[in-house]
Amino acid sequence: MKGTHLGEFEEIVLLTVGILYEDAYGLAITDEIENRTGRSITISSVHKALNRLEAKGFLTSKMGGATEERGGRQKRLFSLTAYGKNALNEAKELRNSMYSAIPKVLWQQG
Amino acid sequence: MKKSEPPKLAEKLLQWFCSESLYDEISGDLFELYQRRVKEMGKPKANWLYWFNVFMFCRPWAWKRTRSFQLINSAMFSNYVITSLRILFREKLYTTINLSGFIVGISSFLLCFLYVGYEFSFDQFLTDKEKIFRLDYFILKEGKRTQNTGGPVPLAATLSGEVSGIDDYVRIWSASQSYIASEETYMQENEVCFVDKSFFEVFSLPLLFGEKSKVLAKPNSIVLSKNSAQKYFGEVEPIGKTLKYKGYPAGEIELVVTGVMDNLPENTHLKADMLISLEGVKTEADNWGSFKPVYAYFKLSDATQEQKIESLLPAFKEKYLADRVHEDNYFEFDLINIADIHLNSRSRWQLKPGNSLDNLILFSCIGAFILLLACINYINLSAAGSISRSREIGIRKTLGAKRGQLVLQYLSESLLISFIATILAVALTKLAIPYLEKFAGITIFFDLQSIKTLSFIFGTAFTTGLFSGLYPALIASKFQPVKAIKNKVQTGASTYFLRKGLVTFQFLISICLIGFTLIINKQIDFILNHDLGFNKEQVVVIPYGDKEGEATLLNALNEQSFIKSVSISQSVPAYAGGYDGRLATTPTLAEPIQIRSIITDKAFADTYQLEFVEGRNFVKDMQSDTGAVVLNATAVEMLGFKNPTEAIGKKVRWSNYFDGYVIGVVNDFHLGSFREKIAPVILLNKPHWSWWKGYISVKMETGSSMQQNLETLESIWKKHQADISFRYFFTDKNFESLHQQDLKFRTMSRIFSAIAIMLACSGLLGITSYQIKTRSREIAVRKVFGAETGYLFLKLNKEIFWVTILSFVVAIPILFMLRANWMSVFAYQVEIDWWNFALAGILAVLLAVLVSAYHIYTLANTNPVNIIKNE
Repeated sequence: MKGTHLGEFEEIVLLTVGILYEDAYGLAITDEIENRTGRSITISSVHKALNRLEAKGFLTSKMGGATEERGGRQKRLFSLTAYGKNALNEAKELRNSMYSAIPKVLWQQG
Repeated sequence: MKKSEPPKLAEKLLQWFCSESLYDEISGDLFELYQRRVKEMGKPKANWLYWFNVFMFCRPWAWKRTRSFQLINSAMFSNYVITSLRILFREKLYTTINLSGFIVGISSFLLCFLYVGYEFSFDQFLTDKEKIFRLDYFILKEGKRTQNTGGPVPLAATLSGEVSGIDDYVRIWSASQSYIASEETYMQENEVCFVDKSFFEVFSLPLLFGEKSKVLAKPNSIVLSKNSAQKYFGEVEPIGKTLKYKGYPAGEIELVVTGVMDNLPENTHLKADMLISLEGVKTEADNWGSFKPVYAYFKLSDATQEQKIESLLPAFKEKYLADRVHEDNYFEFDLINIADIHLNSRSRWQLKPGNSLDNLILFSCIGAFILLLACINYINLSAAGSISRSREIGIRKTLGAKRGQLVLQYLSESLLISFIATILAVALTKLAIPYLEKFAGITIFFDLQSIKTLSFIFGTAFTTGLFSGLYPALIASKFQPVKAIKNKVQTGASTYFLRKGLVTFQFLISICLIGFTLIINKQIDFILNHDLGFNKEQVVVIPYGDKEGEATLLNALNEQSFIKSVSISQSVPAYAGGYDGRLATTPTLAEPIQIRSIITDKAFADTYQLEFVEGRNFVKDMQSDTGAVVLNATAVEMLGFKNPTEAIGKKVRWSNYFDGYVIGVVNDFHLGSFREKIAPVILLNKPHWSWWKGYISVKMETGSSMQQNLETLESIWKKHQADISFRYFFTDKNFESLHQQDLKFRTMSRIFSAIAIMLACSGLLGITSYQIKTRSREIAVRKVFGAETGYLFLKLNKEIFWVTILSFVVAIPILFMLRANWMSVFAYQVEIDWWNFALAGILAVLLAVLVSAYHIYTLANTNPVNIIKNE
């Protein structure tokens, strides 16, 4: 069993799969991340992360329709598993709880 | 809109490395991205980025992994080994054939490697070897450009004085007829050399006692080898003790031992047991006209100077050797590197006879061929055997074995057997080395700890296993599982022909080796039984140098009843010593000819039973015969006489100063080996000239006891020559030893061809026994339908017969080539017709039929019911 720890990039990919909902496949995810974060990322790193997340059980996938746009090749459509959604929630809650633990005075100091 | 196509090659690359489950989505995404980029930034940049993306995917997580994952599986691997061992024990005949074949093949190959390695190691251990050169020269001899070495005594010093770039020089003057004594009795020593004081500075040979710059600096100093120190003084440190020397070039002197060196290793072309300083030896010191066995070695300041110095040599030659150049019309100096001398120098006279690269290549080829024969046996047997193992292969495939796994299984089998064979072969080689060393007269270094040897052994084992196992592995792994389980595998026509081809090839090699051995046999029989023009039997030769006691010694010998005749001569047939080449001419001849002269007496022709074709022999004590000469037939012809009769009474001028007249002509006789043409010979009746050293030839009565005769000879010798030890040799043995190399070669080729034919036959035995198994049903059915045993026997033998015939036909031209090549060194060659080779062919066919006959006969003779009822 691979570790369940979620890396930063993995978390972003997982979130993006959620955002794209029905149309989450490699290139679309890459585009979405680039748009939202403004980072330039390579498509292979996204594929690698997807691959890993699926192996860890956060994602599930099915092969989607082949379009002419893709030279007749199928796309792999990803969706979050219950475990994946859970992991996102946990990550969010961890973040929130840690954020709220920061003393208010810190923000006032500017 | 039409889609742009991404670069084909990049797509191919992606498809090649990318795992199949990921390929579609990745290539689809990349395609989509590519379309967008073409639109945004144009095709070239998009192409470039596409390549970049493909490379970015080339990471382990995206690779194909199925194959690499399953191939190396330790559980399966132990299973392969177990199955391999089981099969080896079950198929005892095949295992024996394969294992023994590999052992013999690998040992032969290993021995050849060690021998070749030894030959290549000559002089490699000398430091600065790339800077040390010997001066050789080329002359035309019988129209051929011939290499020689040695030269005038003052040459080395003069050259090194006149030409820059030479750091040091050393002359080695081989004094083969030297007498050394520590007390009263002189012993003849062949390995005495006079050398310059720089000897140990040029050659990095270890001195046990003494300082390398000083040991030879003073006149009359001698450096002994460990062996000769033991021999003369019984100790290894006889520094300061004295020895007496008698001989050429120093005369009679007293020597002081100044140093002891280690015995020279075998693998150097230098050959010396005692080194005497050339300081103070004035003999021929200024004579440029006489070429002596004085070898000149130069140590250059660096290796690149060689070309520069060689370019200056023609002018040097013109300056000092103008006479010589005009005499021979052709003369050319050449520097040869010391590390090249052993294998590349063709010089006839040098310290140690060299070897030729061709010989080594021949040996390596034979070794490789023997190993190849063993490999072919394995290939044939294993490919044939895999059909009977098809059920196993079928089951393995059904259970999910990949083709690669089956290949690996087969390879592990062949590797297992080749490694077992290698271990045994190394042991066998260890046992064989002493015999090889004794036989070839060499020292072999078989160091199992050296990386080179180990990697060679390992490499051989691995290559042998891989080479032998690959083809059967590919065949067997191709079987279709269903057919394989039902035992319905048919190997195609191509594999049938390949196997037949391999057997033919084996027989081809065997027939070639047998035929070659026959050639060598015939030539050597020809040499040993040929009429030499003189009688070599019952002749004992005693080296002799003392002119004063000569007459009394000869008289004493002549009194013995067992002695037929006694002669003293400057040189004797079948022995290299005392060679004297001169110029001879007649008043009518345009150019003088090179002639070999033998100063001797009347009894020479009697002792060697030379046959007079014209005229007469010298007459003893006849005053008018002092100017008489006897020629051989070749000399008569070369001196321009039409026939022997015409030559009688004619004047012949010898060596520019002696005028003789011909009184007789003898038939040609062989003075040297059959590699040399018979030279023109002149016999001079001048036994009272004092400057020449000689040999006493004693012809003994047949039927007298040789042992007793020798004892009598020794006692007479002791009476007259008390201070020199008695030495003798036999002319017939000498003649044989002139062809020693060829005799050894014959033994080698006999051994190798025996091994080859053994391998080929054992392979054939395996193949037949296998065929019998697979064809038993066919034979049984034929018998049921009334085929005769004899007919079946012939039918089954037919194939083998054709295989041998075919290989015989192919072998004949190869044999003729080998014959021409090997015989070319002989001036006198035996006639060999193609039907001589037929013997080799018939022998091979007979052996082949004999080997397979037993199996075939048993099969053809069995009751068909026994076979068919099993089905």
